[in-house]
Amino acid sequence: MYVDHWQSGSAADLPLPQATDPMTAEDVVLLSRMETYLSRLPFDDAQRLWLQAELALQLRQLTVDDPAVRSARAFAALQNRIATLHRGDEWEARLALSLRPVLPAEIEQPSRWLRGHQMQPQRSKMASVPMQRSVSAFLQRQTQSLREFWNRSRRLVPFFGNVR
Amino acid sequence: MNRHPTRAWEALSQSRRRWLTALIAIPAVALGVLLQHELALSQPLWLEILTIAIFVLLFAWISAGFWTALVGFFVLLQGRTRSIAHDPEELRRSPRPDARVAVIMPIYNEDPTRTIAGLQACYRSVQRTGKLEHFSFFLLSDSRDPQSWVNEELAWASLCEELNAFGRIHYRRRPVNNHAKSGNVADFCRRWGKQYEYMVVLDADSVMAGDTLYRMLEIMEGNPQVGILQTQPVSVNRSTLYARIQQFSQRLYGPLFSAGLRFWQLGDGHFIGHNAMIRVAPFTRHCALPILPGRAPLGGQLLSHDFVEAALMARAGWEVWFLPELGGSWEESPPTLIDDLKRDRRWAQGNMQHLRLLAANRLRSAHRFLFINGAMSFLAAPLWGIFLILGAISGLIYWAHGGSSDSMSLFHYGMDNPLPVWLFAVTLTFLLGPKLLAVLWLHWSRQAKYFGGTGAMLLGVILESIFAIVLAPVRMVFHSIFVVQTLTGRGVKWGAQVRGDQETPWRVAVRQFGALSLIGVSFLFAAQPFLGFWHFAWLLPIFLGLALSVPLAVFTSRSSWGLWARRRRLFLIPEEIQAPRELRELGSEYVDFLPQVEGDAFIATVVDPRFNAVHAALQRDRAGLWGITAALCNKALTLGPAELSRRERNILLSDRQAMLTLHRAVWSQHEPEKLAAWGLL
Repeated sequence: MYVDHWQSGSAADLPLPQATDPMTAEDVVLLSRMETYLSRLPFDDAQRLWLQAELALQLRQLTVDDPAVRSARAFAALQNRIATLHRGDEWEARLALSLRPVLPAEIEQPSRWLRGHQMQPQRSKMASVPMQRSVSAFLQRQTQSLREFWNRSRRLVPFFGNVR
Repeated sequence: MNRHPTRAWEALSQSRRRWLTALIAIPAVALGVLLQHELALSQPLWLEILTIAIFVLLFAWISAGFWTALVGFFVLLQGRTRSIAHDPEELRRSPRPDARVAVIMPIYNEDPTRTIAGLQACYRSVQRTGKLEHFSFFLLSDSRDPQSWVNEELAWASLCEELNAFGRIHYRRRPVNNHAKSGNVADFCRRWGKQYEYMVVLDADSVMAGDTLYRMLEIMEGNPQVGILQTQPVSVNRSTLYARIQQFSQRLYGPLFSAGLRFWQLGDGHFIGHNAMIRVAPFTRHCALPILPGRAPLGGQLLSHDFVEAALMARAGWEVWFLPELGGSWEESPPTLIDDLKRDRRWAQGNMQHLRLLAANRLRSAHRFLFINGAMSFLAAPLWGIFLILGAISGLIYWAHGGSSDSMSLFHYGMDNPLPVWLFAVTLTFLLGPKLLAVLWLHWSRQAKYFGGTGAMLLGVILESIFAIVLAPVRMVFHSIFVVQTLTGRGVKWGAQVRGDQETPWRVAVRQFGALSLIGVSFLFAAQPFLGFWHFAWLLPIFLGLALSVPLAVFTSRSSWGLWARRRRLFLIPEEIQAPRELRELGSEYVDFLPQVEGDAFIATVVDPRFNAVHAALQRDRAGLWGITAALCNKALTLGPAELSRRERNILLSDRQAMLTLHRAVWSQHEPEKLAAWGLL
């Protein structure tokens, strides 16, 4: 069963950082993974440096030894810091970064902006019209039109019979 | 909106079609009578009747093409395809500021690189006209494969970013893709149809020029009685030998047939399902497809929707115009013989279904004729096959009565009885005449240089004709099989089409055509001693075509052969000599902004923070599914993404919260094997 350690990672009562604490080999691997994460988002240099420093600091602060908890809390801390870049919403922050080239600066909620640029449906009906496909009815119709054509011809060309 | 009260072209079109009917029927019946004279004394009655009936049908079929090409030839010689006073093109009008066109591209498990390149080329072309305010673009996905879905979505987002076109290019994926492409278009009409007066339907491999799209809008605006405007898409961009030959023949002979068709059809034109502008309101109101009673393949959903939609539009009183002279309309043809036959398999079933609509009330006679014509393009194959079998029986009777092969020699024919020579000559003229007329027209109009020059063009026509003759028996056998399969209830499933130039490996060719080749080779060796030289010579193209089917399929599928021919100026088309800007923009350098999703796109969407954010923004919270998505998230995290089925992935992808949760949880993991499963190690 999967256990969500991320929830506990978002707790605000973390102890103060000690910059001189050594970093374990596991933490280096963890840090490297978080670097990979950061590399996929187009932060500017200042943001990236700040996030990296914050992350290193958070890792040193962690008092638990369970690697599962350390990993979850590290990522939670990273997401919290990313969220601070965009009014406290980590997903909106990622979206804003993804849409950065076209997203107007004043937009607060990129997800709403994106939805606003999607065409909103205005429903209408489209249902097939009944169709009479019977062959006998078709033949009847053809006979009828032939008869009409014949009657018309008789009126137009009196050589072929009596005109009524 | 009601249809226009006057239809100036109708009397003219009726008169023209009567002429066409006479031109088809009189020579076919006359030749049938002549054949009867020839067969009356030598064949039993049943054989005579069957032979003559099939001959008349087949001759009528090829003569419809011949007369169309001949009329087209004269129309083109006159220098204008617009042959009536109130032609829609002459009544075009500047669009009202609020006239809106949706350019829609229904796709199904396609390669997004090509579809996005095509959409981008259209968009940029419209942008260059300065009339972008009238147009919106829709990528309407029916993809069931999560890989395709995610790739399309990311490609769309990148395209919008590249063109700054959020709000002008839209992406929609239909979770339930009932009624295939026609259902996809109908879904668009139901959702957004009210907001657009017109829509242009593009195939995944279509491209249209902005000038053409705007001109079509002008025509629609000036002709409120027109329901559909159909352009003639030109096949381009392929490099396999097979596709290049098809492109060449279509580009060379196509204009004649198109001009001829337009001459007969006028406002009762056809619709091929793409590269056409449609008036949305009447389409929504009248063109929903009926479901045929009974089971597939002849019952159920209509597989070929376009002809029926045109017929329904015309039935409701709207005009359907085919405008081949518009230009700026392109598509791509199947790259290989096998892909071409696969497409034919679907068309065969669809066209046969149309026969069940023949008796429908209030259909225009022109569209009934189109239904018959469409069905005949496949029924002709078994008819020709039966004709050959009847010929073989006649041959056996002939040999049984002590006939000699010399009496069948070219030199002997005409000595005492000229009739067979005449029949043969007339048939040959009707078959090959259009090709000759096309060459004459291009020569006189000084357009041969666009086909590599007169010499290269002539050589191309000769080689193409030989190729078509050799391929004819292969098509005949396959089309016959398709017809029999359809009639015996074996339907075909909707599938994605092959768009790239993929070569046919030998083993695939042997699997598909091995039996045919074997039959052809057996006949080549076994029949000759029994038939005599001249009888054998007459049948040689058929045996040879069958025998060569395997190598033909393999060698013509090779791009290297196609490019070799191109270097020698063979099968050149104008678009290869001077490619229009829209086609140049299909190159990979124009879509290098597309995201490179390596490996599993589902994993990339969960893991990559950008892809995940964009994808989540396009989904909604599907609270009703949260019980299921929670279980699936747990499965994905404990067992790994590889254990998720396609359906399970689709469920997860469709819920925003599931995707955000998975993203968070995957990055929070620490166990190396689990991280590796998500590509994080």
